[in-house]
Amino acid sequence: MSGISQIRASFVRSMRIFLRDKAIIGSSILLPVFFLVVLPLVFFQQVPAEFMPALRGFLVVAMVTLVIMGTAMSNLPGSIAADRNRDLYSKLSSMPVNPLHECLGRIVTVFVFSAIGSLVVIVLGVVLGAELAVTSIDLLLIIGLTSVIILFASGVGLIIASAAKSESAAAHVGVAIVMLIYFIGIAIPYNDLPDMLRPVVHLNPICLGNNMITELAVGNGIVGYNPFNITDVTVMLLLTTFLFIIGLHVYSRYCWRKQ
Amino acid sequence: MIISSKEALDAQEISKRYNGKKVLDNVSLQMGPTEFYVIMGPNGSGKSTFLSILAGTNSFDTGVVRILGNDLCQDKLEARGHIGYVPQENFCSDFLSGRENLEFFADLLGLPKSQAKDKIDDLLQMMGLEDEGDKSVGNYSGGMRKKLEVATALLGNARILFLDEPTTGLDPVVRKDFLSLLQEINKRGTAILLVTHIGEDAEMASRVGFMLRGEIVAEGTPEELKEISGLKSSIVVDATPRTEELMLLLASLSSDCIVIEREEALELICEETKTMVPEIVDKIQRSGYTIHRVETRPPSLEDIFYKLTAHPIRGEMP
Repeated sequence: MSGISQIRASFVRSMRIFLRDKAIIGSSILLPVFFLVVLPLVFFQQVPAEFMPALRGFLVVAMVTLVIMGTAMSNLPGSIAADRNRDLYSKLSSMPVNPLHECLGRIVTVFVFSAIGSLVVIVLGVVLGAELAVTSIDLLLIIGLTSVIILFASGVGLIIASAAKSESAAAHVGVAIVMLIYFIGIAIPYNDLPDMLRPVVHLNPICLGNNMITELAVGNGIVGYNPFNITDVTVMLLLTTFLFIIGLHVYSRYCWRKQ
Repeated sequence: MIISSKEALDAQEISKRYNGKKVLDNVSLQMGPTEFYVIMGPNGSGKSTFLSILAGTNSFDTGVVRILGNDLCQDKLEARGHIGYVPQENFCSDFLSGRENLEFFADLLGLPKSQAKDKIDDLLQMMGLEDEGDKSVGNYSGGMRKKLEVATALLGNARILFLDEPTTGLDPVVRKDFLSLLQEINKRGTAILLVTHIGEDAEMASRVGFMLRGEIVAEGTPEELKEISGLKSSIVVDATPRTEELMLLLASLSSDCIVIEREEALELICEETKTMVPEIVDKIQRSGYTIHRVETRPPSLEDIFYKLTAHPIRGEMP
């Protein structure tokens, strides 16, 4: 039995569901798009015009991170919990299917769906005047960092899916964590955070990755510190690897097997 | 008993405890390659747990399960390759069409595209879903969903189908149609194991097992079970007002009789009923009840279950 065909089967199914479920489109793509348009009108009115392109660039990166978090930490666990409620995993575990292959198909969906959402946000952001200046090497680095964010967020999503008892619990817990991360380490610039919250940023690969991408794409010292230090990079890579493996493990153990 | 290694199913002494409670107690079951076996039991009797163990989706404490000679624990992939399992819940996604759901399972099984397309077309036609295949499953009726799920189970090389209460929630006409479809699949050479609490589902089976408290307490063809029970017929009594006193009155007719309250009427299950009808009519009329209908009918498997186990099949286990 081909592992590739199992990954593809899972990816095609999940992708079709993600693209047809209005709630998923709304929460993962339309909400960040709405914020991208409305937030500058509310919060950036007093900002001098010369700073606006950079601030809009900062916002675009933040909204891309929000797209990824919404997809991986709310919609991924929500869809897994829905499948578990309808006993899909009983059906799958009676078949010669590898849980890891099926799971990887879902992760590929998170990658592709996030890419689509990110593209919408970036194009709209640039149209609205965001300044994103990247070289080819920066672009490669940004893709790598985005992948790290997706893997970490997917690991969290898989853990939420395995622990939550229902679809609504999975989606709501995911949204709560997304909001927490968004307000503590992404929406509010590092320099504006209270001292007691700054260490949280250095322990969260999503915040670290977001700040690194912001530094690459926007620059101008907007992040408030040098995010490319060896400690932060190491912490980001180690925590991401650890959490993603844990996510895969609990998913195949608790979503696939009955007692 | 000597069992060929090519039996569709050979389950030996399966036991399982859950939260300290014994759910299955040394249950064994062997099925031939074209057998249609139905396990009947009330909710909580252990039948769905047993089925999920045989389908490889649930763990068990002791025993051995072989599918076409392949040990379910040792030769996982080979054994699972012959299983077609339809759990009780509707596992197909509402966001996909019937065809897309089938494509998903075909791809999981690694069927080549062209082969999968032909197989899906054939199965949709076999299930009578050829005109509905491209419609969203969210618009399917209960019967259509069940047929689609059976189709998912037939996509691969399934030699034995496991069906968990597939007719629950279906109206009588759709149920009959669905059961005919299962018979057709069985005739084409696929063994079927179905668990249910509905007697009609078992009437067509080649063998029926009655499960209670994690054990198969009686087993045989429907005719053999009728023979063992000694039941010739049951008496349906439709009289008003339908009170507790009326039930006691019927029960007092013979110490061997059991009175069951059905939705449409009361049913009296006794070993001999024909001679009792005049007596019943007389007693009911003299007690002031209005009789709408009194008739005898052949005993159903639900009646036989009640007679042999002294437990109604429609109800929770205590």
